[in-house]
Formats: sequence, structure tokens, C-alpha cells
Amino acid sequence: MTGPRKHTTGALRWLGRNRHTVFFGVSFMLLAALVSWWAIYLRALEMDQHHYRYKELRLEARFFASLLGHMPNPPEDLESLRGAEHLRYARCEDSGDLTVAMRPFHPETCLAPSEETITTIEREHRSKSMMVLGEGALSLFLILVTGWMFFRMVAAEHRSRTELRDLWSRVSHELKTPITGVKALLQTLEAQELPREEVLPLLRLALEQVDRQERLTENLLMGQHLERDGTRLHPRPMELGIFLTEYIDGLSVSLAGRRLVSRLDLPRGGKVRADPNALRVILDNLVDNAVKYGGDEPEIRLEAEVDGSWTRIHVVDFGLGFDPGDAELVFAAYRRLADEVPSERRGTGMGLTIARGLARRLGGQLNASSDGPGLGARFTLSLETEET
Amino acid sequence: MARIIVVEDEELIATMLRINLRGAGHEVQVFPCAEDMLEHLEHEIPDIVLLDIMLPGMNGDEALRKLRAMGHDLPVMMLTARKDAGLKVSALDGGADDYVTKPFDMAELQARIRALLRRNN
Repeated sequence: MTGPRKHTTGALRWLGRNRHTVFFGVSFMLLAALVSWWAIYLRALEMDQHHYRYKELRLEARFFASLLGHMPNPPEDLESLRGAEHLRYARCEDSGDLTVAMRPFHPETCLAPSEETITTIEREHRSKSMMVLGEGALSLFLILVTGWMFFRMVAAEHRSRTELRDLWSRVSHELKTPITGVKALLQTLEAQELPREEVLPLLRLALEQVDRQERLTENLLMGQHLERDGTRLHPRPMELGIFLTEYIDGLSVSLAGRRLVSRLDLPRGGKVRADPNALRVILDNLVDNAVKYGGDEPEIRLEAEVDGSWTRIHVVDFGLGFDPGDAELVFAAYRRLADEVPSERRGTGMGLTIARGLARRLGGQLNASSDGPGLGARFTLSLETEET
Repeated sequence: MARIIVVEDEELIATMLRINLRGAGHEVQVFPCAEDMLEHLEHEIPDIVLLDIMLPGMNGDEALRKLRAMGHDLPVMMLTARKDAGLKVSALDGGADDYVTKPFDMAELQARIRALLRRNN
């Protein structure tokens, strides 16, 4: 495909993909242009009306000037002439542009609009102009604000659809990959006899895949429940030291050859208020994340300490880390900051989002910190210390 | 029989492919990432490449285009869990000879490999 044709095709594809945004964007621009044009038109109409009123006044003055010119004894007071209440006698040099037309044949005497008339005309002109300009500006502002809000809404919707498509793509990959391995293993075992020493490591790998799928399913369900705010947690005072010791002993998350080093600096009998199942899911996700992004470092640390009214649990890795400015971004749903992890350790990008959601539901906090890319990461779960 | 390169980072799938393809008499080499496979192609050209799409680092789609850009016209079969037509079109337009979605049937996969080898010969 040649250069210009390629560009045209690319532009047409882009237009096709973004047709709704383009359509509404152009519509709003047209609407804004229409309102601007309407305001300018009304303002021009008002200017015409303003000139017309002075013209009318001039005609009126000319009529009365002619009338007075034919009177042998013109009245002292113009108001005695019916219909001449807008006018007054003036010296010709003070009557402005009305001078020539409104000379009533009295030496150096002209007719001029009364001060009150001019003030009224100018006041009405100002107020109508202000009204037209104000209404025009307000309408334009409202259209632009609505357009901007609409654009943001469409952009958010588009982003959400992209994220959802991306999530389903990942979920589909994550669900199918373990099945592929297990299915291939079962088909192989059905078709041929393998020596036991060759089968056992394969079975272990297959079991890991099943565990991975189980964890994925749990995360998906938990994510869905959290989104609907339907997860019922049952927080109760629990002895954290005992819980963490049991958790580490029965760890269900694959460490992929890494070592989990724990340092529990907790007072004997020290308690927090939490739901054990939710706490297990939070820790599973944090440990799983540390394994995924732990780089080449073999060690992961799990630490716990009491800090005043808070009890903190840290999960620390020494791997890929992240830019300190991205500390909040790591919790964004469906986001992963690095794709350099092997696919058997990739996930749906929901683990940390779920962990933070659960931490908040327990009345706690979950925060992340890192000194920078390549310098590891620290995830801190803070739970309220239970008074004993 | 044939020399086959498998680029697959999932250990269990890679192992099962190796066992089955070796069982069928092929010579199999497995690489966990596309970069290693491309480096290997500078020294030795296999008869067919089975290439996973979702790989760490360079993905299968990029690797395929790079492989074609290097001037290799050997048959390449893409393996992926994704079924969307856009991805298939992109892979086939990029020079793939076949496209198999996971979870695949081992017998069907082997039949497709045989068909590709026949066509190439």
C-alpha cells in the first residue's frame, strides 16, 4: 500500500473507531457556533433598533420644528404641544446632529431630545445589549461545559470498554492456559505410558496450574462481589501472631522457588480486628504480587509490627519495584506496571485492587512504596490494633 | 523426522509438547522467550516453529514479523489462548502459516504439523 493511501486508510479506520466521539464533538462545535452566531445576530438587531429610535426622534423633531416654524406665537413650553414631550428647546450648538433638521425658524433655536429621553434610550440599549451578550455567553459556556462533560463521559466509557476487553482477554488466557497444560498431560497419559519418575514432576506442575486457576477464580468472584459491594465480611478480634504463623506454615501461594522470610514483631496476645478469610485473600495477593515482581532476588519478606493504634503487616520484595510516583497506580484495576514477568506468573491485574478493597472494608489501609525501578517494593497493610 | 522449535513460556505446556513431539519422532528444542529463539535462528534453521503469542518481553506477533524480516520462510504455527479474529488476522497477515487456539488437542496439533511439513516439502 502506498504512503498517502495508507494514511487515508489509517485515518478512515480511526474515524470508524471513534465515530461516536467525532460525531458528538462536531455536533457540539456546530451548536456552539450556532449559539455564537445567534448572539451576534441579536446584538446587531439591537444596534439597528437603537439607531432606529434616534432616527424616529429626528423625524419627530423635524415635524415639530416645521410646525413651530409656521406658528406666529410659538409656545414657551414645548410640552404644551401634544406629542412633543421627548423634545426640548436648545441652542443650536448644543443640539448635536439634530441642528439643521430641527430649526423651528427661531433665531439660533433648535429642538433637541430631552435628557430624560436620551438617558432612557441609552439605558435600555445598554441593558438589552448586556442581556444579549450575557445570554449568548452563558449559552456558549453551558454548551462547552456539557460538551466537555460528555466528551469525558464518552472517553471514560471507551476506557472502561477497553479495560474490560483487555480483562476478558487476560482472563481468557489465564483460564485457558492451565487447562491446556493439564489437558495435554491427560491426553499424553491416556495415549502413552510414561515412567513414574517422569510423571511425578508433571503432576506437580499440573497441580500448581489447578491452584493457579482456583486462585484466579476466587479473585474474579471476590472482585465481582466487591464491585457490587456484596461481600459480607465478619471482622472479629483475632490474634495476629498466631494467624500469621499458621498462614506462613500453610501457604497456598506458589513461591516459584523463592524463600519467604518472616519477622513478626508482635506483642504476645496482640490482636487486630479483621476477617480471617479476607485477611488471607489480601496476604495471598500481596505474596503472589511479590513473587511476580520479585525479579531475580530469591527472598520475600513478611514483617509485622505494632505502631501505636495501628498494626502493620509489610510484604517486601527486592525485585522490579516502580517509580515512587506510581504508588497509587499499582492499585488501579486491571493495570500492571510491568509485562516482563513470565506468563505463568501473570494475572488479571485485579489482585492488588481486590486486596485494597478488602483492606478498606476491614477499616484498614493498604499502601505501596518503592525507592524506584529495580529497587523492590513494600506493601503495607495497616489494621487497627484491638484494645485488650 | 523434523526439527521443531517450540517457543512457550508455560513449563507444563512446553514439557507436554516436547514429550509428544519427541514421541512422534521429531527433534524438539524449547525456548521460553522469543529473543532466545531468534538468536538460535542465526545458527540453525528448524523445519517448523511453534510460537506462543503471549510471551514475556517480545510477544509472538512481534517475533513472527522479525523472523520474516530476517528472511526466514520456514513454516510458523502460532499458539494462543485468544480466539479473537483480529489477532488471527494480524498473525496470518504477519506471516503465520497456521493458528491454533488453546486448549488444543494434541492429536490435531500433530496432524497440523504434519500438514505444514508436507506443504513445505
